[in-house]
Amino acid sequence: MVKLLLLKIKPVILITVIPALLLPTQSASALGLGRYGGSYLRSPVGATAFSTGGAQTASAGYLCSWWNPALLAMLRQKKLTLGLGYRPMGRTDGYLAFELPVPPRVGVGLSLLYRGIPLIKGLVDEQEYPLDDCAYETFSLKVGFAYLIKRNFTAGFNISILYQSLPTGFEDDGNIIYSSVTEIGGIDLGVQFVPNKKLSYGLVLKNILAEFQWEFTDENFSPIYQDTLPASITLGQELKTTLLDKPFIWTCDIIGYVFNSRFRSLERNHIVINNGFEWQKWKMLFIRAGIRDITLNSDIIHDSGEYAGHFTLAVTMGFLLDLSTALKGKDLKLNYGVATDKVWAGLDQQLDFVFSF
Amino acid sequence: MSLIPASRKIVILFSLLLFGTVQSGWPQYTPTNEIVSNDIYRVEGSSDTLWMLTTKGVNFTTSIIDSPIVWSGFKNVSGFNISYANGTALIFLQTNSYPNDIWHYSHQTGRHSIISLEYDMGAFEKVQQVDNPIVLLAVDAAWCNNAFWIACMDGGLAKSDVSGAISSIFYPGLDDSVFTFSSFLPVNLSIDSLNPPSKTKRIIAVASDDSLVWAACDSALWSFNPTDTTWLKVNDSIINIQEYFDIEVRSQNDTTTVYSFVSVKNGTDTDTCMYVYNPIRDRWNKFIDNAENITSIAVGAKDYVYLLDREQGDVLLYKDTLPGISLDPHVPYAQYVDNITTSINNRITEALTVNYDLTDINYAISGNDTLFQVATTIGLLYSNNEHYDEVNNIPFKFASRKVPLASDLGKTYAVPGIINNYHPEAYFAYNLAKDDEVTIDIFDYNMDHVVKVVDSAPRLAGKHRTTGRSTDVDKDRWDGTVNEKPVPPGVYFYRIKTKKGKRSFGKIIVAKN
Repeated sequence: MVKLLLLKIKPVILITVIPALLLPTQSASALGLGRYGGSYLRSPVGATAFSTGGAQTASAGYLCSWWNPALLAMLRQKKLTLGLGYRPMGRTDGYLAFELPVPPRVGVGLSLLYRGIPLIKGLVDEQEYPLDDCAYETFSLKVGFAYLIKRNFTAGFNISILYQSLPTGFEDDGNIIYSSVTEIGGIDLGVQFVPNKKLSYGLVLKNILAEFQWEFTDENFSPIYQDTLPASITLGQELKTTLLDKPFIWTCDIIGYVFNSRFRSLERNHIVINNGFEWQKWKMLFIRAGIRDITLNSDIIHDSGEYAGHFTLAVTMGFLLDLSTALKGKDLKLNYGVATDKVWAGLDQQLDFVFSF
Repeated sequence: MSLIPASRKIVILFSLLLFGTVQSGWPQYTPTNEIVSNDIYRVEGSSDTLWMLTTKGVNFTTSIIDSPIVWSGFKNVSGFNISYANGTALIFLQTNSYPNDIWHYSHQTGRHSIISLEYDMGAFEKVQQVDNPIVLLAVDAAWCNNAFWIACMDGGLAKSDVSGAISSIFYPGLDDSVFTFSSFLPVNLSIDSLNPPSKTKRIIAVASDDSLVWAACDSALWSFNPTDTTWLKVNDSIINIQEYFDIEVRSQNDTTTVYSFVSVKNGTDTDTCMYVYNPIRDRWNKFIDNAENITSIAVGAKDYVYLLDREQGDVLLYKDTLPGISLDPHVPYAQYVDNITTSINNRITEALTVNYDLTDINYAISGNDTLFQVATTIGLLYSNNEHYDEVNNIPFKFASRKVPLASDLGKTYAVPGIINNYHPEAYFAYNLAKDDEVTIDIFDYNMDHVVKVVDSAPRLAGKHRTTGRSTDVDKDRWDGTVNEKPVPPGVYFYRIKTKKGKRSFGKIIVAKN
């Protein structure tokens, strides 16, 4: 199995990693992914993704409209998902998705994600007086559509509506001033190819045309910030095999950040590699694990010390619990995922229920 | 119409349609026992009592020489000037409507109240004889003859006792007209035959010696005798004064000296300078030239005068050595001694490493006790132990608002917590239990690294620093940019970690373009 895995990995690595390594470098501390907007969108959504290293592009069984809209056309059942999550520093997630096949060839779905920090405490003004409690909140809606082009090939897209509300100022008495922004029309494009029963590939281009035009609330003037999000190209793979005679699935996503949503080159290119595993050892309980956010860039060659200083990854694990037996045949699954935070600030957790009917 | 004959001494008395109402307990002024803000813009007081006006409220203490100082104060009291005498403070409140109110505090009772000045605008207009009169505005006060004399722009001097009650107002003019308070009309006169006195004389500053109140009006200096309520205009024609900006009085050894900030005509130009007036000799002399940047004066002991040059951030020390012989009144005579910048920088450098401004100075003398105060935007310098021969080594003490921080990174925060175009930078407040090396990084919402703010820099434990915390305010700060470009708006996380393995995370919000 290992040999099989390596055979599958090798061409992917050659295609994606080497060009990144050969690109000229700038100071890593100044040009990491943290430099770009839309950071709240880069975290995985869904407990399955959380537990499998965030590698779901080729294998998402739900939240397809989020991960790869092309997967919507491969659905066999309607799916209703409800989930929530909590991460260090008060970061909170809540999500809802509904997806359904429209025979014979179409699939549609929508996913709604709340992500933010509903209670920000402890901020102070310039004299160290406490400010009022405040909140950072985002809502992201993706509406997806897919078409089964051939038996083993689908294509799809989704359109996003993204909203953010952010504390942007404060008054003398500690009252918080908020600004908000809405972006309508970011597009994800995806294709899914299933060459055989064991292998699947997905390719998704995300955040095309997505940008925020902030206009900060201020009584004296309205400063504007144009936040053009980085687009991403994700190549996902799902390999089904066995481990100790039990089904074993390996998923891998390689995410490339090369240009922004307006197709202008980023100041620096990055490759992010996510890997996940699912072992269906028991009928009702699947074990999951993964490694997420392995970032590659040209610092590996040009400034290895700087690269090593900023290298981080997250370790993930979780499980699926099939509740169908307990619910007299209703197809309900509970997914739970936990991941280490990249800077070890704590543990990320997500929990969701997926009802298929 | 018969008027009391005009004479050089003018008394016009108004009774109380212009009345003072005393109200107790203004609910929005929250009491506190800590310094409300380090951004101090006015200081006033005596040798043992100190008042500060700050951007967040007022503070006072009656134990300035004690250690530690016991502070009291009120948040949200917003005044542009303060007068203190005889255990009573008057703060002239900033307001968007007129007339403004006066915040009154009595140390004897421990109570504060609001003095509201109200008057009949229509009647007042008849006196002023202008279509759009400048409305009543209380700007300053001086203590003399057991009363406060409140200077009002376009209102004369209002007499107030220590309780804050205003009983009458005295108006400088040219006629001996007595005006009743209820109608602002002369007694026994009809409106038709009204012949009002000269137009309003705006009083912009007052000061006092033991027996007189000195009032600087737009272009004239008056003395007012509270005992017989008579006015005397000072003859300043020799100086060709165009405008008075401020006055201060030294009253020592039975000698009164009136220091005046004025603009004088000089050919086709006008110069801003400082003149002194000696009432006994009825003589004017130029103290210094080029006083455009002088914003505050403090009269010290032993003929010393301190001047705050806010433009240069200096406090200049002069000696008032006016000789007995007559001098050309237009030749500056003050003897420059030195500036006290070295003493200030010695103290401030020890405490903090941050830019600051000097905003006000005050010198209080009570018998053999003195208290010299220098207000800054980061705290208060004060000294009750002057060394004139060691002007570069004045032993200043420093009082500032200190928010205690738990050591060992127990509590940290960004100051301020939101970076925007108004607050373009923030520093990170933290405290170490032991001397250590500190690294500060910024991460985005997804915990991707944004920028390294501080890289393995040595920092002292808070217990080894005057501020009580380890923060180097100049270096432990971030302006929300990377390579001078603002980062996208959002919530970011900072991590402070030490070489010894301690870590602390916190939030900082960026919203700037």
